[in-house]
Amino acid sequence: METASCGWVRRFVGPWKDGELDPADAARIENHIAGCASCAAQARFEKWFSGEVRRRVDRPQAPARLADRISLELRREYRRQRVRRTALAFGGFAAAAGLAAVVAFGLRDSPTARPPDGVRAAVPSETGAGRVWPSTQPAPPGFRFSVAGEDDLAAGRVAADIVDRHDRFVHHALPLETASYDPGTVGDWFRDKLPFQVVAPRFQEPDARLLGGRLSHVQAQDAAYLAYDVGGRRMSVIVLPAGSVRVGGTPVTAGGRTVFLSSRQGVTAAVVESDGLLYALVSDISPDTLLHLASQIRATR
Amino acid sequence: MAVAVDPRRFEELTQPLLDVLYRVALRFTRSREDAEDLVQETMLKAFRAFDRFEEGTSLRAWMLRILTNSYYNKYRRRVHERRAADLPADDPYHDGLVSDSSLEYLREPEAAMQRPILSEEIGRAIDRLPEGFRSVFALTEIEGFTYREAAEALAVPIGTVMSRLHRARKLLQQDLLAGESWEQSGAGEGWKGEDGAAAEGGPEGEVVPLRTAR
Repeated sequence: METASCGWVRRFVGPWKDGELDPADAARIENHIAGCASCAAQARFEKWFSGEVRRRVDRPQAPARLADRISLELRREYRRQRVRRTALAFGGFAAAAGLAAVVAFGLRDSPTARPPDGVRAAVPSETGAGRVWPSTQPAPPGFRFSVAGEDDLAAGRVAADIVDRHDRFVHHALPLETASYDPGTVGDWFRDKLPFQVVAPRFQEPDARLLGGRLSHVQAQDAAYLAYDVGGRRMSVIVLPAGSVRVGGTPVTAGGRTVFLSSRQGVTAAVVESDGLLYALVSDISPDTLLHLASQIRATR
Repeated sequence: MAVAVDPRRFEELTQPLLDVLYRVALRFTRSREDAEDLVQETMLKAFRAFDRFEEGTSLRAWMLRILTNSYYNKYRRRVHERRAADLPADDPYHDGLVSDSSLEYLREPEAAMQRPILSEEIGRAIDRLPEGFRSVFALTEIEGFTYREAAEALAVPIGTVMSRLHRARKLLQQDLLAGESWEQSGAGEGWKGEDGAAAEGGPEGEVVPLRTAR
């Protein structure tokens, strides 16, 4: 075997340490350092230095919001590709424009995206004058809320976050930071704490009573968390700037408002927009009651 | 037109790479915001071009190649730094990158091993490395890429990976153990201002004659 010089060994001790040398060259280095105390010390030093760097260097993880952003963009890109391909297949601009409109409004072409027949009959704001309230009736048979576009991970994550906030409050894991029955007082508490003005909803029904609020977030978006008691049941209302997160749900008309309903882990979420704010009501009270409450929300004092 | 890939399938395959892409992007850009943008751009480009990915090759290296190209196309234009990585020599001492005064640790390696190295110092020292060295060091030493994978990701020959890694280690040792960065020492004077247009995209002088095991 060719003898290796100290200079040669020191030049390639790094690749040797990394296991990147072929066996013959690795053997030359090993033979040399077996008889050369100085090069052996150098080899130990190189191993120590790499070990220190690997052990101590900061290895940050990608923030969760990045995964959400990417998921959303990938799905948008996928839809764009499908529209383009369909347009090419039909050979006409009109076909592309029609499909693009469907995608843009998120209606999809699936009949499951339409609200089931039972939904409109269950809307109290359209039919429920004089109704006994709050209702604890279960949803009508066959009535199942589904997140429109359940494949939309971004919306799914938002929904999961919202339900999680409700769960934590119900299980006393999220103490309130301000406690008051007065919507004005609670709304004022959020002033200077959030980059948007929080308006705590007032409901017509005396059984729906505000308890207080706390700072919260949905994904990376700052949010206001409001806690209500509704006839002895807990209801969470999460307030966000409109357009700040992507939400899914079945669009339902109630009281002239469009409310997006979805269900998850046994609770229902009703999302409605008013004057630049998004309100997500979450509770295990009956979906029609939740819809009725959501339809009353106005972001004015 | 490219075949549309199911985004869920694509995410399943690429999700495990998100952290490493982000970390490498962070090493490149040294800005969390820019790193997130760079990773997002990389993922979208990879999604669009996924039908061109060859099964059986390294997805990690392929993605890193896209990230590297995206970085140089977009971000590097606004980065002006010394381009020591473009130099043809491979010995940091004779390059002038390592100064005489900082060589004490090379003479006394056992003593150097007694010195504590702080985590935050390591991060800062890596960020001070010249760009071409930093990317090779991040991929191989921190992320555990083989030389071949790093070469694929950076579109440089394996010999270049070896020589840059060698030089990066010497510069870091000087910085962390002798407390003297190559910029502070003035040892690298005369190397600034190069645009290094070919440094990452094309081969540079093959100076390491060894074969690699992999």
